[in-house]
Amino acid sequence: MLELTITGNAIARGLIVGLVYGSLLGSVAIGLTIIWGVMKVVNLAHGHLVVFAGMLTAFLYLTYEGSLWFSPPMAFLWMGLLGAAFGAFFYFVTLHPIIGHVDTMTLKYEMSSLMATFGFGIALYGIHYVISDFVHTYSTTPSIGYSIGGFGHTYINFLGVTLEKSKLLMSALGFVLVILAYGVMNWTSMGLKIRAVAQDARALSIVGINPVRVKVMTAIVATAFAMASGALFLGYSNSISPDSESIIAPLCFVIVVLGGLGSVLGTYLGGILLGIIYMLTLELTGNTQQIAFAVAFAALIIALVLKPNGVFGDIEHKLHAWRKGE
Amino acid sequence: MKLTSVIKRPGFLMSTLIVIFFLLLGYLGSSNLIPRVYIANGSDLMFYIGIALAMAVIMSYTGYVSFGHSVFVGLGSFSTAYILAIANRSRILSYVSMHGRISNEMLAVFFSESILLAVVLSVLIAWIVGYAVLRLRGAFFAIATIGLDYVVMFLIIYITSMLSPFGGKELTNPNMGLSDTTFYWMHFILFIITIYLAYFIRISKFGYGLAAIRENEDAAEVMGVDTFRYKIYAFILAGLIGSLWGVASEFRKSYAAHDFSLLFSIKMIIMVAVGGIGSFIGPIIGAVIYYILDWSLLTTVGELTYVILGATVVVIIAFFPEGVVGLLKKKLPRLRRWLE
Repeated sequence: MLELTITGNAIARGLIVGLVYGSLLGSVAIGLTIIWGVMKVVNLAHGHLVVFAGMLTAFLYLTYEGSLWFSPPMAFLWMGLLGAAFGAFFYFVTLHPIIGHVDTMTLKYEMSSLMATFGFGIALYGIHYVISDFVHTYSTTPSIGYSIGGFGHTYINFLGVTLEKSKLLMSALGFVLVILAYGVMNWTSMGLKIRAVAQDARALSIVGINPVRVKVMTAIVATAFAMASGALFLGYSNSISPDSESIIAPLCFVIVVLGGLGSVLGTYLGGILLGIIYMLTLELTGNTQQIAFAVAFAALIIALVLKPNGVFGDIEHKLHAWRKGE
Repeated sequence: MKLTSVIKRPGFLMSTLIVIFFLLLGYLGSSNLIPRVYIANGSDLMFYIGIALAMAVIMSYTGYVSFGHSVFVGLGSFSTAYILAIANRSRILSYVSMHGRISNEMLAVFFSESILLAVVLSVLIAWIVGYAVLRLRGAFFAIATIGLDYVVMFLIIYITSMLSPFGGKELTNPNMGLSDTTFYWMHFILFIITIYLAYFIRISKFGYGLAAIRENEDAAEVMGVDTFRYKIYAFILAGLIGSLWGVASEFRKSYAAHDFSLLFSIKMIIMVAVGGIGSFIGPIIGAVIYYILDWSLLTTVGELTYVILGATVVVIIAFFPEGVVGLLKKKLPRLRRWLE
């Protein structure tokens, strides 16, 4: 039965935990905002990619008995590198036959690529169960305990709210990931090319850049960020299973639409906004996940109808303008 | 449209042949001429074809992929659970304890009440939600419908926990003492409604309007198709057919777990995509292929099922975007008349 418990402590808890969780969710959604906002591919495999990296990290961490090298803060790097390779595989298997030759994405190509990534996602979901059949130490519901980075069960107290240090670390690393993504997209020539192909692929080929190569790069960058954030997600939640996708993927879509397609900072802020909405609802209704989901999606539908460009869609333009002193 | 011209169409003939096939199967099964297990398989197959056709109205005819379509199957199953497990529980239990099974009159009343409630609920929700989400196109529509699924699922779980006589999120349906054969004929009634309704939507003026929306929505609007109204009607009809199959599946189950799981949407989308977008016969072929594939894979390779299904979708979307029907049309032009 639905009972609201509105106390000062619950609100403070919702806000602060929401901020921490939202920071993580924002970084998990970065891969999706890049591939969707830039390449116009609605990557329904995004959640599965995140979970795949998380499962792999958990397997390695448990196999090497808690080695620091495979703990989430380090695996974050390995998964990013692996994600780059896996991204190329993902692109050539799933997307290249459909959008490899396409200059402008029409609705038809958008829907076909959506369906193709959806199929890839289902296959990736099934892979876990196949592996666990052959490799008996590969658990489909691994739990890595609370010993990440030697923190153990250590907490800090902030405004009457206890937070686990490991979760704070993961949120901080999420912020690092966002800064990295912002840097890649805004300060490198690769990021420039990626943003250019989003605006006009044909014009890009006139100035001598192969749009298909840029698309491969986009898929690589997006998958690398998705898989790196998978390790963070594992570190935050301590346990993972292939079904975690059903939590991650819908939230990521809400975040990307809320925050603004293709905008890294907007997505991060959208993640924080959603994290606060989600956690506040959880706290006020006494841990009813369905209500939290319902509220999050109600926010999504309202945002889609009222502000189709996202709540924070123009944050990066404003930032550029502010830096130039306009 | 004249009735005689409809009867002469090949699609009508095909759907009548399919109906006759299921009629024969039911007759042979209930008179013990073939093993009883075919009755259960036949019911499953009708269920799959039914939900594929429900999805086809919005996805294949109109071109809008709805990832939350399982919400309507869930509404149908909720309506049935309400009629059986909440409103009439004590009546069913006392009658069954005396006679062993409920009478046919009672069954007919419960069945029609469930259908009525399911239709009212699904039309209402499809209308309200369609008004908001059908302004969106393509991927945005797909994602908003996932949200729809979660929101309605929560509301239904909340309502169930308030109505349930014992509390808790799930209800147990009372045992009605019915056999597989009875369920088969209940499926069959809904199957006739579904297949002809889907076919008439396809060949009516409304259906051609939907096809115009699928091919190019802006052009359709210029040509005088009232696109927004057409899309809402298509969404309502798709939801209505989906809710009918929620009713059918709920009667067969002994417990009332609401089928809001996104897995149903996934199944429907795969079936329509495999069969081919844009045709009437496509989703039916897709459902048959999916059912055979799913059934044989689950019994042979087990864990590999999801991998194979996913790979099938990727291959079909990449190399045969028109699905099985498109492939047949290209390879065997003589069949084109029959694959409408």
